[in-house]
Amino acid sequence: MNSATVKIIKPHSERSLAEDIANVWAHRELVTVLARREISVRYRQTVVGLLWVLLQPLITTAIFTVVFVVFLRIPDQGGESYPLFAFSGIAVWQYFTRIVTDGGNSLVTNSNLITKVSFPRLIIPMVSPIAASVDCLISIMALVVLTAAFGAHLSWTVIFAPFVVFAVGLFGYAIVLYLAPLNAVYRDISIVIPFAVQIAMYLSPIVYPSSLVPENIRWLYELNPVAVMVNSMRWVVLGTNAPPLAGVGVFVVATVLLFWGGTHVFRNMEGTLVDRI
Amino acid sequence: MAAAIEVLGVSKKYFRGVHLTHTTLLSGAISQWGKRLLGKGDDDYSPVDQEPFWALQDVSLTIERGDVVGIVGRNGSGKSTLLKIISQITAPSTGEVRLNGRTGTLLEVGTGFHAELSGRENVYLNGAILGMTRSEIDRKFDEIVDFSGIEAFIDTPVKRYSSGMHTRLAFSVAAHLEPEILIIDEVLAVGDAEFQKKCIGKMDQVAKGGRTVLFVSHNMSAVEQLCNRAVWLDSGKLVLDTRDIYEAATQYFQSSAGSAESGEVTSKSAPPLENEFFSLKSFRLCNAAGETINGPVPANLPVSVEIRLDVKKTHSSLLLGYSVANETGDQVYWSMFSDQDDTIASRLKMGEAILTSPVPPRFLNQGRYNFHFLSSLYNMGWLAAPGQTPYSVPLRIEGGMSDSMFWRQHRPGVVAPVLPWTLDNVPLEP
Repeated sequence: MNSATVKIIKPHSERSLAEDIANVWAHRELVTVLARREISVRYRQTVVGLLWVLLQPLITTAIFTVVFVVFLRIPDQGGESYPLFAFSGIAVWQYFTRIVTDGGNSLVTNSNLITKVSFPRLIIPMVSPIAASVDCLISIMALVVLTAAFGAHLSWTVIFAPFVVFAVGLFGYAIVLYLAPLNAVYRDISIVIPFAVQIAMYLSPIVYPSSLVPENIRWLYELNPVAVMVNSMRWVVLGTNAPPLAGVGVFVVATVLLFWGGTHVFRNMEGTLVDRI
Repeated sequence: MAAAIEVLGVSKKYFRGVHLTHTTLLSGAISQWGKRLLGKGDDDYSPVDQEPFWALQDVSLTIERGDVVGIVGRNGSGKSTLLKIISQITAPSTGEVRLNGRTGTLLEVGTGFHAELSGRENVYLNGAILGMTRSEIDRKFDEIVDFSGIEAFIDTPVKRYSSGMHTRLAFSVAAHLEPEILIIDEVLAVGDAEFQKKCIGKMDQVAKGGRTVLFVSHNMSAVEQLCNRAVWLDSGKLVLDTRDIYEAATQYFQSSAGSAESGEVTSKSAPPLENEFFSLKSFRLCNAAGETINGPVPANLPVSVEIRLDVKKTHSSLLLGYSVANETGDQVYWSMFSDQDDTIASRLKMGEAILTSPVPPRFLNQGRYNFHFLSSLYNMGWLAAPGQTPYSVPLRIEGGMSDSMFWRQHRPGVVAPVLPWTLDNVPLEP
């Protein structure tokens, strides 16, 4: 904002999307500042510190391996090491879960900022995808190391892993555009989210491969955007579990639609949620 | 040159009460969500509360560049709401605001401070939140830390700071914002006296730099010191917009005092004041003809304080008199009937007594005063503490300050005596 521009503050319903996007861009430095705050605070005062980023997926993978391979003896998928399979899925899943949970609560958590300082509120839900992506990328690097350690095949397409992370971040942000303002006003959503996340985990190929799903419904199952996300990561790193193109298509369309609808909802609620948070 | 801020017909409504009770259930909310998804949901509240509360009603004002505006009003008058709208934190329900220039808002000190981060990190965080760029903060970092006075602790986590240190650092960051329009909401109420003085000094500096400042406060003396314009809001409406700060302060005082207009309080109009020594019959202010003064008087009009009582029992240490307090609550002076003759109490006879004493003319400055009856037993305790009984009367002094053509406006000062001067040892004649 420079002194030559005259800024006009109108009742919320009268602002355009283009104005809002320009406003977000003008505040881009604030996004990095808030993301940095999120990242640096997360592991301060812990003994394990940044190692915790890796311990979470590693420990979860270990538990799942014991339960599903040793206790439950799920059928081997031919050449694929279960721990690598599980770890790659878990890394993405934990990233996605964090975006949705932290992002869904982001407006409430930052209510003191929202009610006291002026900046585009659209920025707030961006912070958790950015901050969490750092953790995810570190996990992926660990995955690469593990893959080499296990002697398994590491696909050259691993260089596309950051793109997958970015796509997941976008998808998560689009969902949070709905959840965050709704949660700010109707707090029971924050109770529903963890529950929905749990269910989604069982309906997605996180702990078991999609090949275990009965053939007649597998096509539907694989259209699930979460399945697409998780399998995409497996495919770029390990070269296995390629998601069907239709699934990728659904994912892209879903992201676009959610984005469009989400910005609409968010911007409509933005005006009054400050007064109702 | 375009005005810095134009507020055009701005109103803001809120719905009171627990208007969301039955819509926090998913079932009730889903239909509303449907409407929201289609973009119509904004004002569609459930009909539990049919009458909205209008925090602001059709407020319009134009603030020129360089104005230092003090916004005053009682709690709940809409001051903070207006600031929030101008600061783009909440949107107006109707009307619009035009801003010409970069704004910096301080509604609360230390917004965004994170307890786990060090002072240094919080300066960067808070600065960014307030709208400063990183290079700006880098440039001013030393100045900011210096102003706050907590250099030694700058790398300690903020959760270890005392509340005073916290405030000093937070204010220091905000003080170094350089927006064209600075908007501040009652943040000067925090901190010790020394720090408050520093803050006012800094704000004065900002104002003198030609910036536009909007400043909400209850502290009338700060407003008088810093502002060249005062805006008074009452129940959401703009009541007064003036460049005569004194006028605004007087009106503000008047509205909050709520005292009786009559210059007389008697035992019939108020609860009787009785003790073993006397029973107070009346306490009033009167003019030379003995008539009660009920309205404003010029400073040169002779005014007397009259106390009528029924003496029941005498006591050599009985003291009777009055105190005078001004608008800001300062004690201007006390006067007791024993001040020139300390044997007077023992000469009181049983029965009715009338005490009068002139208020010195051309002594009190223009303004409103409260005269309080007081009485005590010397060194033994109050019989009637000033301001604690209903026997208080207001006095408004307006005009008549002096005959000099150079003294026509309100002159600063608690008192405004007209004093004799000599030139080359020769007294000046009027």
